[in-house]
Amino acid sequence: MNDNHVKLTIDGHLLEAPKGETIIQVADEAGIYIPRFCYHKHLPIVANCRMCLVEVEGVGKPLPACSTPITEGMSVRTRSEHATDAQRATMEFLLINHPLDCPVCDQGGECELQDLALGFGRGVSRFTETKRVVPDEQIGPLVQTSMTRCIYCTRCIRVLEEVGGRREIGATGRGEHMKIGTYIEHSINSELSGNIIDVCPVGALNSAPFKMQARGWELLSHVTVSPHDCLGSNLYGHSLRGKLLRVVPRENNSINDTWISDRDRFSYTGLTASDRARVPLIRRNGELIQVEWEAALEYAVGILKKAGADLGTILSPSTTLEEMYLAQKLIRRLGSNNIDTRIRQHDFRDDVGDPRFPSLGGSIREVSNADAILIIGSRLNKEVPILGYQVRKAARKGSTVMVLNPRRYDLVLPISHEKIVSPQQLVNAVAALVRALAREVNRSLPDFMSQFSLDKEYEFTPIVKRLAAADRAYIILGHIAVQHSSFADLRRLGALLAKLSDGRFGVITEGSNQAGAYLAGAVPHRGPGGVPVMPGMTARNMFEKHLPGYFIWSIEPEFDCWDGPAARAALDAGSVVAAVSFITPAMREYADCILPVAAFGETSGSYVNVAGELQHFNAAAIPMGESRPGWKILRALGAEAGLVNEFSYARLGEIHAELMSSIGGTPLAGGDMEYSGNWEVKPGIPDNKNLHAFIEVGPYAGDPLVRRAEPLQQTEDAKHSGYAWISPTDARELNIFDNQLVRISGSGSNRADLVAKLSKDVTRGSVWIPLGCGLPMHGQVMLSAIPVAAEA
Amino acid sequence: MELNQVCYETLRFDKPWTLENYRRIGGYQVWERILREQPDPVSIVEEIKKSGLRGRGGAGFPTGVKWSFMPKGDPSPYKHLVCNSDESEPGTCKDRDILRFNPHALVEGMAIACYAMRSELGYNYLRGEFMDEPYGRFSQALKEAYNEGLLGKNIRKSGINVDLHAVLGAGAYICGEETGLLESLEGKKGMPRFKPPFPAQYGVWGRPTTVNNTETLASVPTILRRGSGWFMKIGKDEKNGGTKIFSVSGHVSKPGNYEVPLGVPFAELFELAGGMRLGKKLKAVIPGGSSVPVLPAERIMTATMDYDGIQKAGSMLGSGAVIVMDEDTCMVRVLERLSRFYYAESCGQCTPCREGTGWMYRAVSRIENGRGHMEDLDKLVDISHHIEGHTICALGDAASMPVWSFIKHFRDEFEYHVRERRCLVGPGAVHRELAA
Repeated sequence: MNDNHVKLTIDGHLLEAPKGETIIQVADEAGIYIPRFCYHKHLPIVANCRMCLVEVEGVGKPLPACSTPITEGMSVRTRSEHATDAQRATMEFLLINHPLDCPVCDQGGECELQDLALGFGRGVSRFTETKRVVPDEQIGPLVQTSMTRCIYCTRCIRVLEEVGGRREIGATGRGEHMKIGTYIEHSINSELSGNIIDVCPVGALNSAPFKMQARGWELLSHVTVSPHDCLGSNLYGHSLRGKLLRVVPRENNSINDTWISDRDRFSYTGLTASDRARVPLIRRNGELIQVEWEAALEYAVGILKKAGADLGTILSPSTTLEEMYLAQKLIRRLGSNNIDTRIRQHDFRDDVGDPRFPSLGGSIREVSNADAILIIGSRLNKEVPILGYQVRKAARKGSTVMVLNPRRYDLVLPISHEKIVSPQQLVNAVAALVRALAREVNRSLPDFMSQFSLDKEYEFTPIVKRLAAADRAYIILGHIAVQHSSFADLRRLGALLAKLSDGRFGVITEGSNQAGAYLAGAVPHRGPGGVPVMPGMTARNMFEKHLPGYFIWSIEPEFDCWDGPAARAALDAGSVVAAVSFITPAMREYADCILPVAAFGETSGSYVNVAGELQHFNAAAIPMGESRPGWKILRALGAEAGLVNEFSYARLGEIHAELMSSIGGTPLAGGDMEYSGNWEVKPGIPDNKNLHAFIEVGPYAGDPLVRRAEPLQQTEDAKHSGYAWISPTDARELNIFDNQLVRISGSGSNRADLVAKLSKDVTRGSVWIPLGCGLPMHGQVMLSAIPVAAEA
Repeated sequence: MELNQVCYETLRFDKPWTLENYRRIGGYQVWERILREQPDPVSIVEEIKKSGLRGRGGAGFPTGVKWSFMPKGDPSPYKHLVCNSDESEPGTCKDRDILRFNPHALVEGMAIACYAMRSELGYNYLRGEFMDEPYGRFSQALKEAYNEGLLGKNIRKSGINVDLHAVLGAGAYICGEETGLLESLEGKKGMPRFKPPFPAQYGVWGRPTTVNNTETLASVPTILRRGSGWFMKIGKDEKNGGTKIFSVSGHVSKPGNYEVPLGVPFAELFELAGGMRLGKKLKAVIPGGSSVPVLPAERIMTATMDYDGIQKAGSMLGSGAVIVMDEDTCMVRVLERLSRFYYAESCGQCTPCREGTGWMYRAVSRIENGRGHMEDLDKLVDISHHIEGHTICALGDAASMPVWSFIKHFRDEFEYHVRERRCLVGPGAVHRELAA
């Protein structure tokens, strides 16, 4: 027997378990069910519901199984007279003040209290007094409350504190007057707030969008994966009669534990948006008209073939692996190498140095086990909420979290060292950090390091000391870095930092399948299996060059591309086949053929997440209108293009198998990036007196589906993203006031009229603007107030 | 029988709270000797163990044993002593008078306890209602001790550091429970923690902590000054050593605090308090604060006032608050008042206590107000038994014990209330018109 193990019996079963575990953990492991409300395996133990009381031999009173540590020779009885008497009593106490409104309660049928009442409750209540009524809380558009139903298990408090990172709700009042709430009324703003719905054992906290939609037992559950970020949180899609009505987490302890972000949970509400693409459309005599699928496919193939080698294909980075594979197969067979999914990237200079696929450089577990984490250019908790949670977990275990960002963000993390430099200085600051670290660990640097400017001094001592001392350092580059116009430099520097600290280096990619795009051959320099090929044009080049034909897939270029206005100009000039789930007004102007594609939840497929995990998922709902799953559209396009034999797949699995034969087996490793060779550093953004605009991709603005998820758009986070954020010093110089309407003019006719907000979080010389406002991601701008008269 | 030998020794002086008067009874001699000689801390713990001193707050846990649970090692400001002056048990007012009349005994006791447990930082948590006089006197005593060079860093160049602070609560009963107190001390809502881990491993701010009652700590200087043998012998035996302050209240002629040797017969204490008021007959006594079972006159009159004696009689010594009730007392009405207290003071975290205390209060209140049913009596006993022992802290037990004990000993009065819709005894029997 292991020294760290103890032997005990539970209900007569002889069990062995590690010291320090509690009775309920051992019982759960052994499949012995002990009723519980407040206990949750991923949350701190509080032992307050008293439902899990069990009999322990030699102890007079029943003990809570959740918090009683096991001891050698312990004998536990969970179903004895003594134990069940205590459990029944707790159930009676819980029920006396619980309303009997199960018939109108959304939790009905999937309520832990209801389930346990069946086993432990009395048929008739002995309670003849008046029941308690508690006023409801208004906590935002995502969670509806019915506080009278609350049984005070405090799981919601603990979820927001432990998972969300901030104690946004708590208990006030004593005894019967105890109340769960925000104390001062405000919305709960955690990007993980929806998890309180799952952990609530009763109907006190329910999903607001799902309110009165269906009963749990009517729904069919389907395995699915998040399409919104590179982690690929595991989900269940719940559907009724072919309609996706709800998304809940699916446990995966190597990715998301039992939690999911609000974005993953509520984005499905965008599926029924009024601008859903429902029927195939083609342009005839300047007008988009509805046609049969056959006619649309024929028309589309005509455009694709006509452009031939000059066709530009831009896919959403959240396209499934199989669709990416078919798309590249189709256009490469038509003679074009121009395919890309890196739509918000601008700097492609070191594509040759790319690893097999861009990755986190390790597993997600390794991030949560790191002892020092440096985040560069990222609003981590909003970009990839679950990765934010994993870093939070690391911090709780004692990891030092450090941040180097081009503006201050509240990452809801216990940050030990934070350095804010202007976006213009970001590259030079990281270079200075690399130099300082190399000095600290006494190692030499590659020659190209001498090209970085030494003009400015930076104080990095605490970060350098910590990185040098760390055993398991982790350097993470976020979306802001990926979108930076000197991303290639940042990536090299990040990789160098990891090397100097003997740690790992990871890039948070955009979309849910960027790694998959490399493996499927949907980037210009990679073929199927991720093998290097003669590079075609990058997404940026395709729009800068004005090609004769474009094939766009599930993107809205004016929102989703680095330079929205340039993309629009290019699409206006060329012929466009748009395979999309939603039709923007702009699309009606430039698209010549619109093919309706099944959206998230309506199609099966697979994704490769940023840690190289290949995950499959099934369709949970029937595609809306006449839209079809993407792989079927591509198969039909292939056949229409005369490639019948090469596109004769009967099932999705055949496509997958064909691709996997070039990828080889799993597990997949991204590999390290190459950064030792010759390298010419790009000057980046000049750090002069000019004002530069930077687009901030809001947490609920990143892709077409979330932009249409009404409940998410009503959150505080979404509202915050709609302004032009500027530093108070700049504002004073420009004579701009808070909440004033301003005009931001970029190059050419690019301009945006926005409401200005002053914030000390923004550095001087930069203004942060929302996605889709008519300016590229970065650029020099002029800012001027719009006179009040002009507003009207 | 000699009164006021330990905690109330200064009461014989005109201004008993002054440093000067405390010095006159030998105050700070022990602490100064410790500063000078720096004995092995373990020897102090052993001395306390030998004295038979048990926790005076209610649970009666041997103090020396409790002290020995603290991790050994070098003196540290990251181990804490906490004095529990959140005296909120109904009927109890002994600690208030220690703070008012002999605050220096507590200061010295805390300093010694810190030394014995190698702690360098102690807090005295006082209930919010002590804001005026007791808090003022204790703070003044602390100030004087600092001025005299008896507290602080490197005291009298001995290398010993002891810092003491006074903290005021906000008046919640539950903050008298030791872990509820620790939560409150940390600035949180007073809600007891589940144990294990015990405070000795994970206390205030997550650091090793010992929580002792005011009377316990205030007894320490005298015990060490006059010897553990002396202290133990005053009391009854090694398990019931020393003196105990009883706060006698209710229908007695001379209510008040009486510091007497443990093991004194109740009859003697009763006599000290002047016997029954207005020549009435004794009906019942709650011997240890409102949370312990009530005892009818015939059982209490033969009992001795010590931990074991009261237990034998069917109740508990508790905090030493002796609540005396005369023959005119309506026990239903008393229970209604007590139940309301626990209903109002439950912290709300454990289901049985949160839901059960309100249920019991409402049921008792119905009976008291003439809307009770006969089956309510058994139901009440059943509810109380299902709260008792099922909660994190002892408030659940405290709320239950009065309910079942009142119904057990005075069932006839409850039944009379239900049946006749009026009181069996007292003025209420004549005057009160209860609801039909």
